[in-house]
Amino acid sequence: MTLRRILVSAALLTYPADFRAHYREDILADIDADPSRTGVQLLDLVKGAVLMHLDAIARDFSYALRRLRSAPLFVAIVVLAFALGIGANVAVFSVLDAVVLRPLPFVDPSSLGVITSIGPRGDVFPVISAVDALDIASRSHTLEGVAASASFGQRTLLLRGKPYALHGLRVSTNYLSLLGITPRLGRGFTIADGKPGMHAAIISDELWRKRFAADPGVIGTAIMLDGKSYRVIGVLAPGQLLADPNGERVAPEDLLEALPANPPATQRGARMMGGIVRLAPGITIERANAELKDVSANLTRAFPDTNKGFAFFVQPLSTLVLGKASSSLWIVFAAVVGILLIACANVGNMLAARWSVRERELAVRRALGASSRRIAGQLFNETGLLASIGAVFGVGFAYGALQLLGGILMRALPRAQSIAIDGNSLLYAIAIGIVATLLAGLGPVLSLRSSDLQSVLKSAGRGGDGSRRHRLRAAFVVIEVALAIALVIVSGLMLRSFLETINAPLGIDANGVVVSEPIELPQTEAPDAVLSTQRELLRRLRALPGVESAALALFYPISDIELESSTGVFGRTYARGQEPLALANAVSSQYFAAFGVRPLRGRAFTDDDTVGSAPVAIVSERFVQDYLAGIDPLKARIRIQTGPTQYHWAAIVGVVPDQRVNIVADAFGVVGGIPEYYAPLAQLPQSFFAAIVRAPGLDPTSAGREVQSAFTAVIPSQPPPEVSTISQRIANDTVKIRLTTILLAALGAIALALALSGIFGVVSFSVTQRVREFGVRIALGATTRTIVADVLRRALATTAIGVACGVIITAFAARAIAPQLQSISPFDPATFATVVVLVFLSALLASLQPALRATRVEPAESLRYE
Amino acid sequence: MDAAGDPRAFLPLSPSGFYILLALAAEERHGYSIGKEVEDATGGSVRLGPGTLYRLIKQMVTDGWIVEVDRVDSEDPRRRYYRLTPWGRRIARAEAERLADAVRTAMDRRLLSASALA
Repeated sequence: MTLRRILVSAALLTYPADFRAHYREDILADIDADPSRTGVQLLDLVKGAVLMHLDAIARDFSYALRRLRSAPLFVAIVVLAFALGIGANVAVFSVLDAVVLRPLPFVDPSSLGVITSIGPRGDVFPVISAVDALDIASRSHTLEGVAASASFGQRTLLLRGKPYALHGLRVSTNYLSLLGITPRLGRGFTIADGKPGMHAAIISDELWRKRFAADPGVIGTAIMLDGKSYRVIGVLAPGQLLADPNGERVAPEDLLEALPANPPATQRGARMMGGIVRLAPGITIERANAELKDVSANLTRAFPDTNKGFAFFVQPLSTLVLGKASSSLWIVFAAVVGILLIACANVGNMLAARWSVRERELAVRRALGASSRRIAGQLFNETGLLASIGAVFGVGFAYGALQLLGGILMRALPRAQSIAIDGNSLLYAIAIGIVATLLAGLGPVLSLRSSDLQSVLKSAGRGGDGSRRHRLRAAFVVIEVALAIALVIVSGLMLRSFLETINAPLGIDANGVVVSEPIELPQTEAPDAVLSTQRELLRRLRALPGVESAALALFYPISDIELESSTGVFGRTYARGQEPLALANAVSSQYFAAFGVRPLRGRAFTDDDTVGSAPVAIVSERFVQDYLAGIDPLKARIRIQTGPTQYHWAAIVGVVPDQRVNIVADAFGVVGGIPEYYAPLAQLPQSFFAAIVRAPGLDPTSAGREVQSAFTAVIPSQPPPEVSTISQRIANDTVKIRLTTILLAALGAIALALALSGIFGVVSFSVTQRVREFGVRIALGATTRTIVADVLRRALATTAIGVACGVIITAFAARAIAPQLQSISPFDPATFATVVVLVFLSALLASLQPALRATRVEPAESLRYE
Repeated sequence: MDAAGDPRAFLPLSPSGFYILLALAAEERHGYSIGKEVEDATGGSVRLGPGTLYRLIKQMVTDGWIVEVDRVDSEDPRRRYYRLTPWGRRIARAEAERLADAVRTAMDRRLLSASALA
């Protein structure tokens, strides 16, 4: 055996066995005859094998295509099942990839962490004081560096006389180098930038393009922020994301300012910064935390006044920023994987039914020596072809779904702007397609292989669907129907709860009302100046055409702002800590008119309720119920806090209906029904206020623009506040539950579609198996109606079992989601009944085609069926 | 393999396939001899390696364009001989006509001069 022969024999192994057997000698002889060209010939041998296999695959595909063309309904259903299963998985994977799996856009993100404080009452917040941050940095050996950052809310940039609102972070000078971020232009912060009086700023690429015309000369120039001069020292790279630990987010920012390097020691207790740390090389989080425990204890010993009861630990930055989104996304991922499994089982069922028609022929062929690999190959080919078409549609569905949900995703998830169907998603689609093909084809292939000739021949001619295999398939469909019912009912409940939430009575008439975000006048302004600004603003707003009433207020319903204050009723005493609490609002005249609210008793505020006149107040119904029982409210006085220690007694002049505070319960579970009191804005001066304008005939967008112009006219030094309608605010606040509701509804719909296709498959199969029986019955005179009724009855019986199981599952599941449901019982009979009826009707529809097929059996043909 | 069918449905042939049919047009040959003949006829520019050659031969046998014959080579008894079937001959002829048409068109368009055929 020369080397040449060994190599040729090895190359020949890539050919099918029959080819090898037939041509081996010829090929060996050819190679022997031309020894100098062995290398080239070996290559040609391998190439030939590849081409031969590709040829065979191509032929199998066109054979499969021809077979499939004759059964368009089957193809449509299978492709749909694959498309739904694969599409859902690709969509969820794309979201998971962009939001959770991709590493954070910093250098070596796995070694980045956030210092988190545990306070004496056990509350945990990702905040720290700048002073403590410095001490931790110097006392720790396991941390390579500690950087502090704090969001500054809003700064006003005054550029060529026009104000612009910017958001950004104040960061320690080592922040950028710790995260490994290099500005694209100019430089990052140095220690010198932290010296007092140095106002250094780094701007974002977007700000640079929008406001500075991408002029590189901006470096070194001065800009006015909130009336102070800052020097621009750098421009960040486009799309640069920054870490904001106390906002628990990673997002783009307009501006970075340098924090002073040496915060006064007296501010150790001011815990308002986020602390980002980088672990030293080779250090694990556990080791860092072990050391941090000691450091915390030392700090507590050294500074008991501020640090008593405080401990610090490090959590990974990715956990803080992505943690909440991550856990919900993985749950959704598990759900769609489950859906894919159901889809594959469905398809497997249908394939097995389709191929079992040829069971006898295949058993005979195998007994005569045909390779069962070939048959398995054909079956996988058919499945693979269907899966590929399904995958293409699935990717299309995924793309469409992500487009539709784009807005909601952006508002509900971090890093959502990078969600896209990209290369990773397509690779995942291919992988899932292959997995789906294998899963779907496995069952039928195994069951076909296991049927031996004898038992097949014996059972042939009898047909019938009482076989064990059929019962197994029916059982599987029962599970699918049960799951679908559970999902659809739960999503139905969530949907109704959601609709109730957004349509909840607000206690106000929000039609035609436009509200603004609050603005804040500089603290330096004297109260007189504030009042006259407010008067001028009101004058302009009320003068706008189409405006019925306009008011200013500290906050309003669905404003996401609540202010609580302790109060008291004149003539009553309260034990310390037992004083009545109420929401305390300061409102101008026309506030209640702007919201279409008429006082239940007494009157609303007028322009006469001003600085020098008698102090007055208005209270809500709930306030009267809780605190004024047994007294005539219009004769009572309540205590209004006007400063940290100052207060005055105000006479109640009116009682108004309760207003809803939040659309979705806030952190303290508040939605409404809280005692509230109102004081006139002029008697409780606020430099922080928002506008409410009632203009029912106007289009909200143009009304909003007019309101903004009024603000700019009266307060030119600040950018005008954002304006919106109450319904827009409600939409904003309900983003997260809207996303959950939509997702659940989509999953429910998919599960239902799959369950229906499962029913179709099983009924179809059963009809095929019973062809002989139908032939005989038709020959004996059975009517169409009887046959159809028979098939439908069996289908509905299976469905009914599934529905019953589903309802039971739902009863348990519903209890778990009860806390998410507002004002709907988790056992709401209307929802349950609707879904059950819907499922039965659809099951009926799905079983119709096979039932009709049963009636078209030619008696003579069926008896000749083999 | 339909004797009354239209060979033009199978055109154009791959160059390698056409050369194999050509090689068998005048006489029966075995695999190695076909390869050598093709190489000679094309002046060495088309060399069929064993993978290509026998893959095509198997395909043509399956399609009924050539058949194996019961002839034993005196020098090398391992070798199998092949012969064109009438159907295969018709296909080869159809391809040759197609190529001739192409040459005629090229000459009409002055891409080729008559002397090229010499």
